[in-house]
Amino acid sequence: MATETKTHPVLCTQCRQPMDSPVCCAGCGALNALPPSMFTYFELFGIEQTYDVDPDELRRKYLDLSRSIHPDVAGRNSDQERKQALALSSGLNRAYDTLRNPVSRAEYLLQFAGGPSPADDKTVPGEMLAEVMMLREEIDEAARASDAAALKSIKADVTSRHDEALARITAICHGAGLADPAAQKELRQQLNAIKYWNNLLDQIPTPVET
Amino acid sequence: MDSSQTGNMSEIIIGIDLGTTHSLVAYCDQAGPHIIRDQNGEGRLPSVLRFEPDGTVVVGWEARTHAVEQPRSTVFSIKRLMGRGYDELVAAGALEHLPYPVVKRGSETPGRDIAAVDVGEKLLTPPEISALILRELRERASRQFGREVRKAVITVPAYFDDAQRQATRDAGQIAGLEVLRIVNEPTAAALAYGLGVRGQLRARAVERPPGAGTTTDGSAPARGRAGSPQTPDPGAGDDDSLIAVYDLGGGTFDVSILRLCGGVFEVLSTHGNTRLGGDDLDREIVTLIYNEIEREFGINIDSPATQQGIRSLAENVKIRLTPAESAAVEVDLGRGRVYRRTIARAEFERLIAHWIDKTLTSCRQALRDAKVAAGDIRQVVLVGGCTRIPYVRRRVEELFKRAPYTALNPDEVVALGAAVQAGILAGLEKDALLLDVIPLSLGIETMGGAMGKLILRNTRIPCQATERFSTFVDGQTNVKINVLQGERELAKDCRSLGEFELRGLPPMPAGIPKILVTFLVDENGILNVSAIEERSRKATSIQIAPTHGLTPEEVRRMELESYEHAREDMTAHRLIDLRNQIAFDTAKAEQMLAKVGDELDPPYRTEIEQAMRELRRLGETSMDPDAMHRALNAFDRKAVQLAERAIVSTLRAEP
Repeated sequence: MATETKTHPVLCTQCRQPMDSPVCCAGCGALNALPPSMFTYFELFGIEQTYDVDPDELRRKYLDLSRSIHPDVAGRNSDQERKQALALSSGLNRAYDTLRNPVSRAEYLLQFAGGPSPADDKTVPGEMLAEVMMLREEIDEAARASDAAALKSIKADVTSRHDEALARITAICHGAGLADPAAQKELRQQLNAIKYWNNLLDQIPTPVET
Repeated sequence: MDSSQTGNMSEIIIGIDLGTTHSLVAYCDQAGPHIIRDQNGEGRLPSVLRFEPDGTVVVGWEARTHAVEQPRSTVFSIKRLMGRGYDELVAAGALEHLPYPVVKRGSETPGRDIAAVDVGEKLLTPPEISALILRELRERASRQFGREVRKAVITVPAYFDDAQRQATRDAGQIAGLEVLRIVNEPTAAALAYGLGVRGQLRARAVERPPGAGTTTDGSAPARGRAGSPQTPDPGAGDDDSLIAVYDLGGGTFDVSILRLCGGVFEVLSTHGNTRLGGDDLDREIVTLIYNEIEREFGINIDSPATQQGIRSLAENVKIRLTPAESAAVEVDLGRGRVYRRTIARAEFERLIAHWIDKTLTSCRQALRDAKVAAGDIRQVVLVGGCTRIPYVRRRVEELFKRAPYTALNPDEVVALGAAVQAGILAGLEKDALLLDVIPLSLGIETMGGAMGKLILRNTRIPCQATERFSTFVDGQTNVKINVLQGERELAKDCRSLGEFELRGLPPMPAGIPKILVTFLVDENGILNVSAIEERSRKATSIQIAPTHGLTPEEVRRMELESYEHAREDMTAHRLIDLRNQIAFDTAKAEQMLAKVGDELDPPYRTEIEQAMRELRRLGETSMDPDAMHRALNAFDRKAVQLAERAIVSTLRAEP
């Protein structure tokens, strides 16, 4: 019933050895001529497709692969190789930025599971919009009055709501699975919600530290 | 395996710091980066140029020294005009303080806005003027290596936008350089420091008794010991430490937060201000002096020479106030009127405080964007001459709660870093790698004049974004896209990088063509745009009209013009050399004739005497180097017999 985790049957076109990451051959250093868009972000790093990404491992792999494929790496003489390096690096950078952030990682998994996109479903849980509007007014008022204490407490409030949404996202991604339309719907709403919380956090002016 | 990387097998790549007030050139070898100095041992070349009425250009110290006498023909701080339009500069008030004339360059294309400097016989754009500085540095390097240098890494402020980066790359091309890489100045500084720091840490690790310094992670910050540069924290290790680079240069300010890990320099965030630097601090003093002179003597300073004089004086005061608590100022206003006063350091600090506040606001933003706290920073590196100012150091130290690290000369560290990057590209520095970010968001103008962001600031580069476009009208074959850079919500508040026009679409009903446009930001932070029509999978041609920059054709033309210019210069050089050679050779022949003339066959003697007179006349009057060269060769051949006779005579004369 459960689908097999995807493996990488990719062989290096140069030395015919199986590649740990389809980006670049660890054995002979050859760049993959295939565009990075042919692989999932998880495949690019050669890691298992799951929400539980080990940030240290991801970073280590990112740095290792960058060392092999960055356009600055010496010894690439043809225009073709330079173009490949540029395409692979920008693909890897995007994959890294998506996977290391728990929110964009969840968004990516939802998209992968065929769930609704932010354009398909803009709803948020329950009464949240009214709360956001209230909080926005409170922020404006406190900012106008330069009330640092009030801003601080609003910030704490919004941060805890943000963290709650993130906890829900994590729980859903860990749960029964994203194939379930109900789980997809809830995840979509929580992802929409966290955008609101982040926007609010950006709007809170930081009092100048003394 | 490959041992031919060294020495003369590989082509030399130089690193250039093209600064607002000074520029430097450096190179890298196995021992590390080195500054290339002039014959006086000076690495800095003032970014100052004087344009003489006869078309000659004087670059560097001489131009700087005589700036006061020739204010209108002396160009400085050209970096502040790079990649910026005339209208923009006027709106920003950036031209008010310049004694040299800046004008709007005529352009066939409406909407384009390019500034140029009127240097007498012609108008030169900022990239052309910067190219003259680059050429000087390139020649300095070529002399050092005894062969032509053609490849370079050039640094720019991290906060430079696409147009400013392009302008810098164009300047390199006009100077005959292949610009392999544009590197951000703070990142370059980190590279220069990073490698030095690594070496130091290794050395310390050996000295340290086993086990010591590794037990606690959050060990107390090492306070700078009096008299010695602060050493890195024990326990911080060279693995995974956060550093902040605070770069206050002559005209720009940058701050970058980096993470260092096993030779990888990963920029987490950057922030800055391309209109804040030492020039602005000087101007605070200039304004103070102007106002007081006006109050005291009722004089409005409007002569460019006095303006330039006060500008130099202000810079000097700023520099003197670093070691001294006060600096005396004296301006002779003529007719016995002399303005005199003493500026105390505390007063100077009050004048510049609002500028330094701005830099600290940028630092806080950079920390926020990097999602780190000021206390997480393991090392604060200072770059740029202005970071010698005690007040700047104090404020930076207060923010990061850590004494800044200043082992390297803040004037030279960027050029050294550029050379390290050149070493990376050449394969000399195999362990190091630089991962940088884009400083400002990129986007397109959407319906209703909003800025639709496609790539957010501080995204790691290279990166790319794609966007689909279509047509609004039946049969439409062109689509225009206004590409923007900046953080503001409305297109009009962001900088327009240029209009990209997709051409040659197959005529179809409105909305049917699907054009996929890819915005690729390369490792230099420079945007490349490509497009394909998805149905036909055909690449669409893109015409780019840079709003404030030069088109590739314009750059190529300027490059050619500058070659021709270089040829003219070469002709002038050659004429001087030939004249000297002719004077020398004829004088020598005269001496020999006086000594052994009587021993020669009379017809040969007459012939050589006549040839000598003719050559002298040619040397004094001719402007044709080829004719002079031919005549000189012919004479030298004729004089062989004379020279032999003279040698024999000399041998005879010896005891």
